[in-house]
Amino acid sequence: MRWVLTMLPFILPALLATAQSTFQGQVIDKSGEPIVGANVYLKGTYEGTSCDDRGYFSLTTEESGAQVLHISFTGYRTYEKEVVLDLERRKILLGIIYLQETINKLEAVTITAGRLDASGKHRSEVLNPLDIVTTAGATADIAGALNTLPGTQTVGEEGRLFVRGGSGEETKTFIDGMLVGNAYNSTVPNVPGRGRFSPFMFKGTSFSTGGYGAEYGQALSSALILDTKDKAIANRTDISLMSVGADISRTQQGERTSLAAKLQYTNLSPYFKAVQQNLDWRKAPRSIEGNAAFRQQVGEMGLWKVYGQFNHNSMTLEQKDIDRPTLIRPLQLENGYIYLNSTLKNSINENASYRTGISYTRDRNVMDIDGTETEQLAQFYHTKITFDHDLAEAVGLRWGVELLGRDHASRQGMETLNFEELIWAGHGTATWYLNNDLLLSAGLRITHNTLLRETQATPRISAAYKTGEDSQISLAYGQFKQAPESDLLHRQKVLQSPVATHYILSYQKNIKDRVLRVETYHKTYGDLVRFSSKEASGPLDNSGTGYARGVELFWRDNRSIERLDYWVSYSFLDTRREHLDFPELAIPTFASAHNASLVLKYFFNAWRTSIGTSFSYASPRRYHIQEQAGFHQGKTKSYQDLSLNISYLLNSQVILHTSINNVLGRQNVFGYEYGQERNAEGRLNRRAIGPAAPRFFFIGAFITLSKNKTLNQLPNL
Amino acid sequence: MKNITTSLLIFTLISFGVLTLKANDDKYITAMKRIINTVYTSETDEAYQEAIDKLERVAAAKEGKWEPYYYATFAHIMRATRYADGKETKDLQLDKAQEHLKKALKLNPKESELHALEGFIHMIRLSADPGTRGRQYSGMSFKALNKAIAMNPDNPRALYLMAQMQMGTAKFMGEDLSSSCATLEKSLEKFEEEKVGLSTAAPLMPRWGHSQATGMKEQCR
Repeated sequence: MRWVLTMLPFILPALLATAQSTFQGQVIDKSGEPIVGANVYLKGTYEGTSCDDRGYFSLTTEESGAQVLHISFTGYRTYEKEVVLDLERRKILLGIIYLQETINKLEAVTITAGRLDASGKHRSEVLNPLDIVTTAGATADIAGALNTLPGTQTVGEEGRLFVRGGSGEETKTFIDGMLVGNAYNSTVPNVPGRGRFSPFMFKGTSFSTGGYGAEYGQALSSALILDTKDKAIANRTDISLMSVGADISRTQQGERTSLAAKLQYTNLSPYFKAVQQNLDWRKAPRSIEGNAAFRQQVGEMGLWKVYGQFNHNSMTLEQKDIDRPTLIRPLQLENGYIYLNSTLKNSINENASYRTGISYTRDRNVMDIDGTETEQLAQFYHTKITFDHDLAEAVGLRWGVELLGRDHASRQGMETLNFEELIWAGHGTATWYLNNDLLLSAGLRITHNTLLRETQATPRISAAYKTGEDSQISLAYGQFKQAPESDLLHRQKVLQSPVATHYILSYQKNIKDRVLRVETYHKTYGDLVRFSSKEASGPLDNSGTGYARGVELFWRDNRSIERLDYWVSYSFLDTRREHLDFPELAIPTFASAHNASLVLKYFFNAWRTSIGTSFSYASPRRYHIQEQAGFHQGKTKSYQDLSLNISYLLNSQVILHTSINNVLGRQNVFGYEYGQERNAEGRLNRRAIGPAAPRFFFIGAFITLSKNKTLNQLPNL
Repeated sequence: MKNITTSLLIFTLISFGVLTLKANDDKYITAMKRIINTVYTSETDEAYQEAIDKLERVAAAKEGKWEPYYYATFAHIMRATRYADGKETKDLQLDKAQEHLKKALKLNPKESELHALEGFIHMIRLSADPGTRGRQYSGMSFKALNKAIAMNPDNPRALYLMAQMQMGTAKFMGEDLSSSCATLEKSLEKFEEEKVGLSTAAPLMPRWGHSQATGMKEQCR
């Protein structure tokens, strides 16, 4: 034992004695390209080097014993090799070392087919979240802003999103993944409704014009997926004074929680008195609305969100009889709406996460048409859980289950109709990155509808391939089912869900704040609900069919001219369908063959003013001429609208905003309504359906009170 | 005897261990000092990358130290401000900066300097696209800088970055620069104090920013 003691001071340093070893090698990737700048070092030491421009390295070290040689570079899998260094000086030749590429989901190819992103997250986005609220003509309405994008059709009397030959009902809205029932304000016929949700609530929007993933269902044409903001970061009070009403909101935040609440009152009667309207209002639309959002951080990564909103609105329109204009038929509407949504997302471990939630919508409409009262109560329930797994570096799996409920009751006089529908759904999607340039995704959605007693499986497949550093093509195919509308189910419960099949081919190029996008699609409809007798009565069946196809272009540039941001979009649509009482395959009245938009935004730094303008065009729409042979044989004139908005930053707390829609006052016509009697010329009396007013003016002052002076609402406008 | 032998053996091993650790720490400080110097004097994008590579090596070798991540974050911010052209390339650098910062904050969440860098990252993101990012990132930047100042009211860099944010905002709003210049004045005072107080006790603490702050003074005249 003693020898150990004596020798110890000598042995130990000897183990660490100076001996130089030199490593040499070349680092390349699988295509033979040298990896310039790869970091080469012995693990646990500070000694290292970087590869030169041919990928060569030479590393000299004084370390000895068992060591681990480490080679790493961003975007590549780390290479490690055990080496034993003895006491002699030596040269170690390592030859060629291959580094394998890793999948970088931010840089890698993404599926853009049918998908218009405004999330601020992806490179492939076409809008940024603020565009939704700064687009002239949109008056801070989500659907209004999205209507300037390719794939949408202008339908002026509706205010909803009509996508690629689909009706307004074929687009479903989801907030944080949860379904929203009746996402647009209730309104009387031919007066457009606004979206119920303020765009300021959301941090991101993903607007799918087709081919969306298996997680979403019950929408034949389109899914609008909105992500609410996360935890607020500052205490603030916001007050808005507008020509149409006022609102006040308060945001309070803590270390891990935040709570925001807002109360809004809108009344259009002072405005309608001041500005000439096309319609006669006995009681101008008015509404009271409140909402509250609670956020709680859960653990390190999780977030729990609760949102609730209520709205009550009412209006009475004095509608003139088409045949006898002196006869007034009052149309009264009262609507109460409640939406509740609670979601939780969290990670399970490094490679898995989940999202779960529950939502409830209650929408009650009481409409009185010339003394006849109808009441409709719609309730929607949605609960779901979705899991995301990284099975391997390049393989992901998303799966989940959900339950969708719809209760609908309708009363007219003494007659009541109702139904309850429950849909169970399960979905799974596998995504595989073959490399950074090629992505394949395949999914399946299985649903069981307890009311219709049908079980279905619908596939979704998509692929994307990077054709260059900034460009990619993608393909999407999918089948989409949607249960029939409530009014049809009240007539008859023995029906099937109509189906749409989408084929989409898309090309997108993103180059330094410029986006070019070209997309073409083909969509077929099957099992559309139809009156068996081809007249608007009698039994229904699922013998309807239809198709839609088109080409769309989008170009955006906010680089070429400083402070100018603009985009142009064009959509060509060819669609026909045979459904409801259509006697033949015909162009629906909501479809227009050509839609185009130009949106410009310019910021004058010196004046702290932003000016926006947009021009929209839609080619003539079809309408049915009662007295002529044929179907949907009439053509309206084209739709044109020029809108303008101006925001002025008065100081750090006050913004003034004004906007004018339809500056030129063009009398747009959306279609015609017919009476029963003939006029002096022997033709049936008719009335054009047009906008509620020649122009719409808006003036508002937005005030932010906060300790932090820069939190004003400017970017909101 | 056996006991003594064992004790001696243990003693020797422990002292050897301590000495090695000490030497290791000295080695860490020496290596870091050298790298920090290259970070401060880098004049090309490649030089920054080389420094970052070295910092990554040190971080891997010497786990539990926040400084290598701090300087790697700083180097990425410098690359974003000095060499990146366009929003996307800037974001690429800032994403990397944020990755390093996240690791540093995990090791030392109470370090004022780290929160100051967070405010810096948000500020550069904002400057890449003020029109659309203004609201979100100015809020985030102010929040991080306030946190940094609350943790250490004497942190001259946090004050200097705060002055920058305030000045940018005031200029945008067309307001006078008095409050931002007051913050800048305070930061310059703290830079002077730091110069005097900076001892060898904290050889790896950040000390950049004085000249930038002095340069900014021009705008207060």
